[in-house]
Amino acid sequence: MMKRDLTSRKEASELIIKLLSNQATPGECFLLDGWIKKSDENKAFFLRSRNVWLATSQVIKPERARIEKALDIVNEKINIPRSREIHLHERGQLQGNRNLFKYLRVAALWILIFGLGTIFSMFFIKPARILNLNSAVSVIAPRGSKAFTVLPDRSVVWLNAGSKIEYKIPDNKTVREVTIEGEAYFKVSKDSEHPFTVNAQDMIIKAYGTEFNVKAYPGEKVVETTLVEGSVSVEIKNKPSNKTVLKPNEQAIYYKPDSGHYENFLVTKGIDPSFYTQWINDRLQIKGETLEDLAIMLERKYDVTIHFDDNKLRDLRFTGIIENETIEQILELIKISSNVDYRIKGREIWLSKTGK
Amino acid sequence: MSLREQELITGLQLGKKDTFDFLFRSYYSGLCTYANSYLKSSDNSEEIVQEVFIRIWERHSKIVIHTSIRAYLYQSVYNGCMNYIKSVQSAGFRHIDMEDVSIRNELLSMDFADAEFSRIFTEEAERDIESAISNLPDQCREIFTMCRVDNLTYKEISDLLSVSKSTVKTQMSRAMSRILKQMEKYF
Repeated sequence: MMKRDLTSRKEASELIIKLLSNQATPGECFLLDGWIKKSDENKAFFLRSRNVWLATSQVIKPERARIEKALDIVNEKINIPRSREIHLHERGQLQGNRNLFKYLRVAALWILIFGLGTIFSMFFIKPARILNLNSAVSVIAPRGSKAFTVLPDRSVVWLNAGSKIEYKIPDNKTVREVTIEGEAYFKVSKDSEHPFTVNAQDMIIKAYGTEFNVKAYPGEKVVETTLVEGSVSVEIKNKPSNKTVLKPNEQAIYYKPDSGHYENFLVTKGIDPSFYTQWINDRLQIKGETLEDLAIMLERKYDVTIHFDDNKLRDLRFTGIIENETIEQILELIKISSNVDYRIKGREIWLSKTGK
Repeated sequence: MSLREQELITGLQLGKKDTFDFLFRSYYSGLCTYANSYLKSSDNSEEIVQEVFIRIWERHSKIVIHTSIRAYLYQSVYNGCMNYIKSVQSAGFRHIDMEDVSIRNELLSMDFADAEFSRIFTEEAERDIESAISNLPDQCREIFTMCRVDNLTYKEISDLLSVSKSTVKTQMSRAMSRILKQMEKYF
């Protein structure tokens, strides 16, 4: 942030015009704000400039075609009364398509079963046979939608967008083991004799009857397990000495070898589990996340691909809560709170720097 | 209030579509440019202005205009923009490093009382600004128009005119101070 002061009226005047024409950087806005608040005279000068600038809107020469097009839109809305909310939904093309996609996917992919044996057994063979088939079952939540499934032992799993779990249909109820790629929330059914095991990349989590969240996306540098209720044991593959037991409000983080992180296994106490499990309720809270990480989350949540025109944008940090917004609304929020502009074409999004 | 103005207000209140269309065609472009001063997005600006007109049409019989149609429209668009910005801010989303939106917005709406609208959004002010702009030296006028009307950045203007960015900056300052001088009586 700039520390210096504005010295001359000339310099201030130039900044005022930059601000009014939407070209001032955040630092310049801040600088100008300080100058304006320094004296009544400065403030009066700013107000005069601003009011004149705003007043010049009146002399804009009208663009016939644009006006007529807008009038058509307005006429259409006047003649068919609709609520504002409906307009909002109809506005985004992407939103319309998205919903269709979403329903199709939710319908089609609630449970996607790999292995012909399993499909065959599901439709044609009595349940008893399934147990003998020992087939692998995959449940996938594709990018853009979440999934929910009940495992054979009655444990319940919510899968975040872009995630997959696999498990074998066990010969008997003693084996309870799943493999996960991505993020999932587990509500494990009670069975103190037989642990429930989650293989999450290099992390192995064992539970007996608890609730916890696991985040283990292949492309990310960390694997996270957050305990909500009960207790779980966590260990790293091939490193049994790292084994630890988590209590509620604790989180185990494993930094993958390629992450460049010095300490590779950490337990953090006193975290707020609701922050890590909010995705179940379609909430996305962001705490100082870089735009790069935010883009990855949005890509999964909305099934889009985000490109950066300017690599400097990747390091911008954001904080906020996203709840039920469409991707366009989120991009608009990003745009209005920073110097980031966007273009959308189909499911591809490009982020670029505005102004200057 | 002129007879013509009174006629338009009455027409609007009675729900005459031709009055509505006339006002829409007369003010739409200016209102969009005005909204864009706050919203930094021409799509959102058009949408807000259209919504203002839709609301006016839907409530036509209940509309009370004390000042002028022009001031009323600009004020409605101003309110629409502020509500939009507020709704965006209350969505809880902000840039963590710098609250420049709120600073910018605070500066743009600072001391902008209702009286301001009927003072600077008038036929007379429009004429005065128009003449102030047309009295600017050629290059100065060209650059000011490209920035204000065509919404181009300094960089874009300097590319288009093959002049340096600092020339653009200087000409903008010159244009502003001349226009300010011609508008002195409004302050």
